[in-house]
Amino acid sequence: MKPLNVLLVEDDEPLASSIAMALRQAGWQVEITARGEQFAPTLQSERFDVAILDVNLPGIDGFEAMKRARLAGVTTPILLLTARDAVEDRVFGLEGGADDYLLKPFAVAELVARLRVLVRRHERPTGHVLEHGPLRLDPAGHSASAGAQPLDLSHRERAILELLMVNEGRVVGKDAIASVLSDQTAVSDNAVEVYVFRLRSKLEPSGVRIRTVRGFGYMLEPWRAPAP
Amino acid sequence: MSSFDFVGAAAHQLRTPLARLTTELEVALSAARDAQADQAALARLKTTVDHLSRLVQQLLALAKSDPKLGAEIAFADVDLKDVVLDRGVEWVPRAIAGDVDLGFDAQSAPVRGNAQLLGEALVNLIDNALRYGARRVTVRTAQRDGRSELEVEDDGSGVAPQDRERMFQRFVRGAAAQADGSGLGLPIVRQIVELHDGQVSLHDGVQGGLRVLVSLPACGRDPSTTRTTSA
Repeated sequence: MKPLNVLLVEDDEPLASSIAMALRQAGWQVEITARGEQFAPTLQSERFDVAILDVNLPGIDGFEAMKRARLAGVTTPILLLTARDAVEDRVFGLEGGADDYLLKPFAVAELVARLRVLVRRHERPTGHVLEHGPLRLDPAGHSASAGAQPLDLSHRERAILELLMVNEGRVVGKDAIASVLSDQTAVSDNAVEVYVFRLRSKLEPSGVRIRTVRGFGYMLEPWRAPAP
Repeated sequence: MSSFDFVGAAAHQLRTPLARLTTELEVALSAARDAQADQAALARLKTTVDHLSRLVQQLLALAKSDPKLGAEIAFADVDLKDVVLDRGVEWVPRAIAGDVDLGFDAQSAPVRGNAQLLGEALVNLIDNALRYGARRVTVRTAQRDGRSELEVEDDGSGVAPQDRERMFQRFVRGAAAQADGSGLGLPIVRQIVELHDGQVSLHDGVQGGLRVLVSLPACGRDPSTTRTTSA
């Protein structure tokens, strides 16, 4: 798989280097800049898979940098880093064109997981094959496999699996699952439970786990290789 | 506690982890060591820094919810159900990583309040439950007798009845407290709840742990507010 390209805008030099080091360890390519002014032009002239943008920057701040990039037609997914946690800031951030945000201080593992989700979501329409441990799902080719074994999944089971894989490690509500299933007829919570139950029993031999979040929905657990 | 006493107590709380950091770093820098010892030292540093981060976050929450310290707090119509589904669900991956079953029973519970502060109260309650050995935590919201209620119930170590009132005092910690507890979780919850003209109380959990009940005046817009909802 080709390495992902990440643009990191962060003026705190020690923080920027340690984020970059962690992302490079994950096999990604990282370009760092300290100024918001360069954000939009850089994203326009070079191709990045995802951008990390600090809110509190000297000169124009992260919100303004993001606004300029979106006005310039940049569609790259953006994750905001912020130390401010006022609700207004959050809404403003997401409405202003951010795809996700993290509050400082954050765990680097969390940052990496969020970036993966953003890239997957963004890349999806191109018929990208999704992978999770031994599991492979090809949404365009309507096929799935676990290791060497093809998985016999119904259309709806595949749709649920795709949604869970795209959001690996994040909770997906039953309503979100129902909305990808309801092509014509509405799908009840009970029906969602039945589909997930069937999908889960088909995935079980491969060690892939779908956790139930009582009263809310489901989460595909991040893949952990079984102990030898 | 006056704000002067509070600042003093807060500074004192920050000193201990800072002292740990200083000592650890001095030792690490002073001698030739093997990679294994360095790895262990780094893990301890990480724990201490996490503790400091949380302490700072909690001090900030106390300051932001204290009108005496000049906090400007805007109220709006808020449904506790939305607060739970928005902020509570964020904790699920962490709970699952620690093999804790964090679940929800969120019914509509409208109040007049500040969603961010109510969310802060909620995450302190969930954080407490996860910290004190719970395997199963349930967050509920509902309307009952003209009140909007938020409840966090766990099956952890619980708090003895005679210790419950003390748990709301700043920097006081329970018998089962872990080394990285701050003694600020429940004081933050109480300050935020009182700001909303509500009450918070501690009860036995059904499975032996703790049940924290937050009761707020229901906001009257919804006609169902006057009706008693069955639990």
